[in-house]
Amino acid sequence: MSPSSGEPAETAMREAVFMGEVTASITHDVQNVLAIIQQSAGLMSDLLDLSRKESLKSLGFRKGFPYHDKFKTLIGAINEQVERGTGLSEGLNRLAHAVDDRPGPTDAAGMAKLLFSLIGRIARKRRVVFALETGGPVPVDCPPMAVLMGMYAVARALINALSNCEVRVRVEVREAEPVVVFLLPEGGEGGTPVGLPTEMVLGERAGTIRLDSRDDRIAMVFPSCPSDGRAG
Amino acid sequence: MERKDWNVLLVDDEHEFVTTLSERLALRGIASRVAFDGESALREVADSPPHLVILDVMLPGMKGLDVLRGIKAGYPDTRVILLTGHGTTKNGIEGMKLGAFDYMIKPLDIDVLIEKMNDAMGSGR
Repeated sequence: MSPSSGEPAETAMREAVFMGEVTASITHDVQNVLAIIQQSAGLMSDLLDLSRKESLKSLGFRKGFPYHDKFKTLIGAINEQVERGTGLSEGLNRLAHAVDDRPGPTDAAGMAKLLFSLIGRIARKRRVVFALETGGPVPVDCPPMAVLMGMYAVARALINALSNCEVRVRVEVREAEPVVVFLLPEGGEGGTPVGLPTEMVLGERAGTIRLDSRDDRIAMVFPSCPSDGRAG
Repeated sequence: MERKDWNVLLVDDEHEFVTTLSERLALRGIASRVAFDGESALREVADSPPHLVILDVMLPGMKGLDVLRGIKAGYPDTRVILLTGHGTTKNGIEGMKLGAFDYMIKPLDIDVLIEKMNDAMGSGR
């Protein structure tokens, strides 16, 4: 990752804003699609209940729907997938808004949660699981997209280097510095990622992340906020 | 007031969503009218002022918050529950400042919606 300047940086920013706006708009439509699926499944479930009630009331003279239980199971599966889709759409929407140019600190813990929800599938390909351990918000003096990109660079290097393991990730403030620590597993396959730099320059106004790579952990030290600003 | 006597208006440009929701409410003893845009919502309100409006904030044309302003200006006793997306919760918060009773994020659980409708009907707002 290197700083960009001049026209290419402006073009990249315009492209990011375009992608962000279009993606955010699409996630709104996805929510509507999910809402319709959810309500339609809900109505099917209501009608099944009604049919059963009427059958019971008629003391069996009016036959109930023979596939009642199977349909109920299927409706349950639809609702589970709606919930899953809602989570994905929510993550995508937050990613789309990460390019918004807003002042103030960024919550590194919130960004880590977002990142790992979005890259779960990429990690699963190598059977790597990121387990996030965090308390409250951890404010960093860095734009949201830069925080995401920085953490993704390390996560991606770990996914490439490891397989069949769990990587614990701690987001915390240590000695007044906001840090994201990737704790490397003892078990599993693969080795320590190679080629990670000792620092990442995140671009204009985004500062620099220091990287401390050891055998058992990779710590990312983010620029701390000048005062105790609240993370957005 | 009993549920069967509630005058409810549902406003959302997603026809399938709002008609299905209306049908599900009917199965629970709550009759409702539907409107698919802000302008027709305000006409429905003027025709028969509802006790409760379920209003999507992301309407095409006249925005949901402008519809809310219109309702509250003419019919301050009408309770409004806003529907927002997870990316537009700030509209829900803004709506509450404008007098909305509450907001909910889509997709929504009908039991939670009815709970909120009960709360709204029991409140003075």
